Amino acid sequence: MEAYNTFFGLDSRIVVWIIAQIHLLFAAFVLAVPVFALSVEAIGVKSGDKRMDDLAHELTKLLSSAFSMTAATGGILGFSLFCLYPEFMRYMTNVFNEGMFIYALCFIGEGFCLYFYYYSWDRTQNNKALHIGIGGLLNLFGVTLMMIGNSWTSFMMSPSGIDQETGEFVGTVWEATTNFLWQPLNIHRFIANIVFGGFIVGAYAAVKFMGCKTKEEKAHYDWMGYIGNFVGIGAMIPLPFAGYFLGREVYSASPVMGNIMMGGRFSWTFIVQAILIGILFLGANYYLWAGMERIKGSERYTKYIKYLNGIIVFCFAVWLTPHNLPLTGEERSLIGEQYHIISKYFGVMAAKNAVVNLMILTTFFSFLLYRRSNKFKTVPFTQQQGSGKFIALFVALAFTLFMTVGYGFSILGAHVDVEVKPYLSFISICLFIQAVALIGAVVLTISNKGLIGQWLLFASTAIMAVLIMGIYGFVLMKNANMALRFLSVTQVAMVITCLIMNAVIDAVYYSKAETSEIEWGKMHYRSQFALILLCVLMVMTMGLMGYVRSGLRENWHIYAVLKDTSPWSFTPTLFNMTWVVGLVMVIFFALTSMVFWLSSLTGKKDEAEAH
Amino acid sequence: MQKKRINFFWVTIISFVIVYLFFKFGTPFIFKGIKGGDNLIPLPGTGLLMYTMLLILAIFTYISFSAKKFEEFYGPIVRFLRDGNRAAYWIVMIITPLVIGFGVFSWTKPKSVSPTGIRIQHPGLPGSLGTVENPLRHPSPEDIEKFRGEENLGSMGEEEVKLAMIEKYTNEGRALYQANCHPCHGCAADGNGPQADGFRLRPVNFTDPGAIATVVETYVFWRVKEGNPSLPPESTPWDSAMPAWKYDYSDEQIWKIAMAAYDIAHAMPRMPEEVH
Repeated sequence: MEAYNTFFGLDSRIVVWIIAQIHLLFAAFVLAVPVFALSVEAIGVKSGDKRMDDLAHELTKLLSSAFSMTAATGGILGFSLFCLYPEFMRYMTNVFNEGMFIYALCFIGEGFCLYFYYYSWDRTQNNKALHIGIGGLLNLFGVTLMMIGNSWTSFMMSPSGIDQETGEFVGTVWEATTNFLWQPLNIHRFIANIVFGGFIVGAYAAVKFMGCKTKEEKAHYDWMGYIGNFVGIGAMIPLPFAGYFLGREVYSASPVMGNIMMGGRFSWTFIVQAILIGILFLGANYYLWAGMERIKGSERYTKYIKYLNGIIVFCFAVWLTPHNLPLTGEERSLIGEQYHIISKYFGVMAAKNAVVNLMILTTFFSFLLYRRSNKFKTVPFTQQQGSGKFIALFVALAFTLFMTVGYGFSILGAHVDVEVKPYLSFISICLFIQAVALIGAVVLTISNKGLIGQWLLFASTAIMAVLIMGIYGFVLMKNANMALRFLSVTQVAMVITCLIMNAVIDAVYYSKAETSEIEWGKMHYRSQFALILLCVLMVMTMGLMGYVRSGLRENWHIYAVLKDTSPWSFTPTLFNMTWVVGLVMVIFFALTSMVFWLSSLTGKKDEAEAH
Repeated sequence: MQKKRINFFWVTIISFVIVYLFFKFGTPFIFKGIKGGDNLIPLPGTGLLMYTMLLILAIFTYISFSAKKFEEFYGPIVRFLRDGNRAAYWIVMIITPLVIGFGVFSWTKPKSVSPTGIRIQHPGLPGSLGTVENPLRHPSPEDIEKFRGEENLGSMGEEEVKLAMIEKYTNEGRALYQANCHPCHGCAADGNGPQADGFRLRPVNFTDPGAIATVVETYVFWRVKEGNPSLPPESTPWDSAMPAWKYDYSDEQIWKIAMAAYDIAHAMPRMPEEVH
């Protein structure tokens, strides 16, 4: 049996690469959109807002044809792998034998639930619990499918159950499934899929918005675009943390792979990623700022936008700066050392972690400004009725204190070298100060000074998580890099607690406020192009990071176990990668347009029947 | 008398020009101030390009997020093109393509400067070294007992003996470092050895937080042992003058040199994290 075959003399690796990436994008679509639809439907049931139910139904329409596309591309991927890489697939089927059957069964389960969820929409209007239950089952199958698929790819990077002497697989399916990188990949992909789902809904709404003929339609699709962007941004905020966790675990699984990823051959792909993610953040903020135009009263806040824009672009600039700026020989001579001052300080993780956190804080601040644009006179906390506000505040406080204080104590108890201990004490103290700020913010809110509480929290987080820890990162890099992992998680913990508590305070503070109407539909087309751009960027980022994750194995099918001896086992250049990722994007959007068109035919039929 | 306001279009253009001029001519003074020395340190061409693009992006974002601001920006352009002074109109129409054409010509014409090179920071460590650890830093119980006997350490605790071993090996490494590495990398491992000025790309400053502190010790071992000949093409081996020390020293001696390099630079090797 040949180890490798070709289709019509084509490069087998590129064939599999393109098909796998397109399949993955559709799989992300059919995983994310049901999560989105189910959440929207549940909110609609709780709030009694019919628009939510209609939105969920409209999204589900897209799913039926997208699901067929996912199955078709999955089938093509399977055939391609078995035909082009038979020996590799023989190994994989031996390892994951039963797991592959479970995958197939889950797929049938997902298909059944999806079509039942879609076709029973009208019939179950009076039995929403049943419908939401089916939706939940649909999502359960979807997430299980994703996790099974992830176990195959993560096994290829960090195989487990292998006899180190012979290289033979001696473990069980479960051992192979629960390999080192499985959970980090599950978390990262799940969150990224939600972001993708949000932005694809946003792009769909933007295209529809620009083709609308009536004010009502415009209002509907404007609102849908807003919801899509809201979900996209909401999920994008924890995404860098999940990515950091995955990267850290890649380094842990193999320092060689970690080194290739962040400092070696793939380091420039992370500069490309920084460009894409930076524009994603800027685009998401741009849409929020543009959205303020549809709200009377937003003039009070638009004057701050220039500063927010400046902060985000500054963060973007730092994130983008590589450690090794490309230089001419003359520039090298003038600099007189290996690194230019800019890249020496901006090019390392200490600076990048600081600016990513600042960018997230700024994006959240933009969202708060948007949220309060239509809110005016508030009712003091002490004059508000009901106990819900107390419960919300105290649950949020308990959770955020658990995160800060709990993590602070766990750092103090960490087993590290004696010389590293003092550095950890400082990090713990910062966490305890953040805990005090959290308590202070709640006390101020209860004392009718919620706004001051919010400012206190923003200030303490920005000063400690961004400024102090950004600088302290350089100290740790030099003197105690063991402590860096604790610093990064501390920064994340502080930012997340600030976001959670500020969101709750904002909800409580403005819960009974006077509000003005939001004029849905009053948006310029540039904002809609921003929504489309966000979706395009997300697809490009997924393509790029798919290449990085897979490429890190270099000339191994299964890292350090099964070598790739085909003629295509070399690492493609950045130039080739951009071509393939670009081509994948074009094919995906062409197919997605077809899916949208097909789903619109159902809509036209419904309209015709209604008439 | 009413004060005349500069319109938003010109505010934007002037802001762009000021920030660009700051990048181009202001930053070299700041870099010189930070680094010291007599020479101005320019912002590299790639950095200037990158930050200028971001500046344009920032400006575009700001002028276009609101319909009012966007109109304020492009309104004067439209009015000038439609109703502006005809002489000025033709001057702009002739000068604009000429300026753009000259810019493109200047950018693309052959120049007598060396090409801009992309350099990989930390070239890939060979897979065969992926699981290798410094045996001197992680001695076996037998090695510890052997060392205890050789050094007459009596009943000293195992951990103390291990620390004594590391100290001894580091000191031996220091002697090797100062004999062989200091001419380029400097006595203080700061990349300022007496021969450092002779290289186009200066030797690595190990005290820089972005240098050896970010890699595992095995990486330093590999670089010392194999030198520039083993670097992959994308890491521009011709930009490194690092010799391959495997011809002069044993693996054990090279591990000691690596330990000394970290010690002299007051840095710690990156520790692989626990796999979760």
